[in-house]
Amino acid sequence: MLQVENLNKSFKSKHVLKNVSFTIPQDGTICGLIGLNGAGKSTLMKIICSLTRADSGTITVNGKNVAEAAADRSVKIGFTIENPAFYGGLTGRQNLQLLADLYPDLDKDAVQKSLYLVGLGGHEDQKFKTYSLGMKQRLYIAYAILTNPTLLILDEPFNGIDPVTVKIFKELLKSLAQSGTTILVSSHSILDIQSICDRVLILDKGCIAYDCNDVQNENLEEKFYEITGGSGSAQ
Amino acid sequence: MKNFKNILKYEAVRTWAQKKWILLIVAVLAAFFIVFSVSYATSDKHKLTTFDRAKILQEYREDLDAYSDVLEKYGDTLTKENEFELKRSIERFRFFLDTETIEYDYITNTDYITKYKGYEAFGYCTSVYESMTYVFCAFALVGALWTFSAERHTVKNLLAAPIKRKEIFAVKTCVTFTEVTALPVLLFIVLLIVCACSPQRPYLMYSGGFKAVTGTHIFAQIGIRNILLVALFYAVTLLCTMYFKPLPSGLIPTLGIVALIFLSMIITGESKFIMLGKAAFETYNLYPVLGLWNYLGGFDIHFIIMAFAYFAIICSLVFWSLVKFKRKDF
Repeated sequence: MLQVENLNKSFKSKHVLKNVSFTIPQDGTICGLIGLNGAGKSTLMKIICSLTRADSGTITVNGKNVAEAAADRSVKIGFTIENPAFYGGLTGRQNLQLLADLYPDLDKDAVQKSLYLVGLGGHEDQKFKTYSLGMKQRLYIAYAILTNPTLLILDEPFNGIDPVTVKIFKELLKSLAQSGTTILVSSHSILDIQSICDRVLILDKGCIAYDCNDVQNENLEEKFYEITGGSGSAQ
Repeated sequence: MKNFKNILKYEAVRTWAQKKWILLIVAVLAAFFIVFSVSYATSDKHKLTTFDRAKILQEYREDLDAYSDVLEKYGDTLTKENEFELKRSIERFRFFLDTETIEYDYITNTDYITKYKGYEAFGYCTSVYESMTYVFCAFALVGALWTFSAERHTVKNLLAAPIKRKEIFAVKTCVTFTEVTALPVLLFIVLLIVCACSPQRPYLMYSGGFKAVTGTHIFAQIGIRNILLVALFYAVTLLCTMYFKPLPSGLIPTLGIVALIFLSMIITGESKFIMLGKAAFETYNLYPVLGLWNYLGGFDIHFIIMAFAYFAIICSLVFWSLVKFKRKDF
């Protein structure tokens, strides 16, 4: 269970997140997060992943502070935030193995398994710098799922990838959710979000403007434009 | 401990992944070393001239009497700067007369890199090491930028692992700090051995009084101060990377050092005393303590105190960087 309470974050004079609160009570839920550019989606996700500190508010996973839970490994968190970043001179497998060695409890075949799950089987021994954008994104997701995470945070994972890869990703996410992983995924494609999510949050100007629990029957696109005014930017 | 080993292995692989850049850096450093060595080797040799020692010593006696007379009669009317210079000249003449040596028997701070016939090794060691220090500072700047700044995005992958930020900082900083200081330290050791095994020309230094030390003594002081300068450069740049993006992080310490050099030139330039007055004069008096660049060189108690002070400053800057890294938003 992920619980976010009264989260606030400012960068210099800009108040990016304003008293954001929501709960994902059920393990295995896929929760979508949509919003205009600058709405605060990436910031919210970074705070949940402990990459950024909130000014105030709490984030708990199964009742424990998320940073403490991740540090003592009672909760495993995987994430893809912003662009995939690995070492160009190393192969996909070497990059993943380099990071896998930081996790003491990982199975020996975890790297190979992750690579095959994201469809990189056969390309794992190519240098990262030769990968296409879609392959780079796959490798990033392979890292995110390496530890069989309890909580998976994906910031616009479908950006710049082909429809076949999008389909592979969607099936992977559904499979992970069925095995109990709670997933928070953001995207600019409302259709993609609607096709996989059990619940959708619309973030507008740093606040949760709408919380939809009946995703399949809701006209999310219309709701989104109604809330955001269709201006294209949160600024 | 296992986390430290894991991050160390991570750093080793990361470094190896950049082996082309490492080879390039080593090649550049080697090229500079060769250029400086050739430059010294091809410079003019100075032949030691034969002097009439008795005549010079007699001149010293006469000057000592004259200076002492001036000090006694007009000491109260002199400015502090002139009084200081006069007293030091008197001490200098007394030293030469007590030891029955003349100024041409010694190397001083103004010409320790000059190539004297028979004493080329000492001059080579100090000349090359002084010149290489600026190259090592540039290398330290690159190393500090590479610690975190160059991998602002890949460091997120590291932060995803169940490892505390302070552990990540500690290992990464230790590794790159070792990388940037290993070469200056190794070169220092090699040249120190060369210097110690070569013919020694006495070096005249002033530290509360004149005394003669060996060339090896002076080279050791030069070496340690230059290693501290490289370490300071690294620490300042590392701190800058916690606040700024790569380009300003690199420019700030470079411009800062240039500004400090100009400031020290202004403070120690004698012609500026009248303009800057008492404050400048007091600073000038403290200069052997303020900086490691002692006016007349020397591995004395002041230098040891300042070296520890510099070490403390470097540790403080690194600690400040750690504090900032733990709270940094990625």
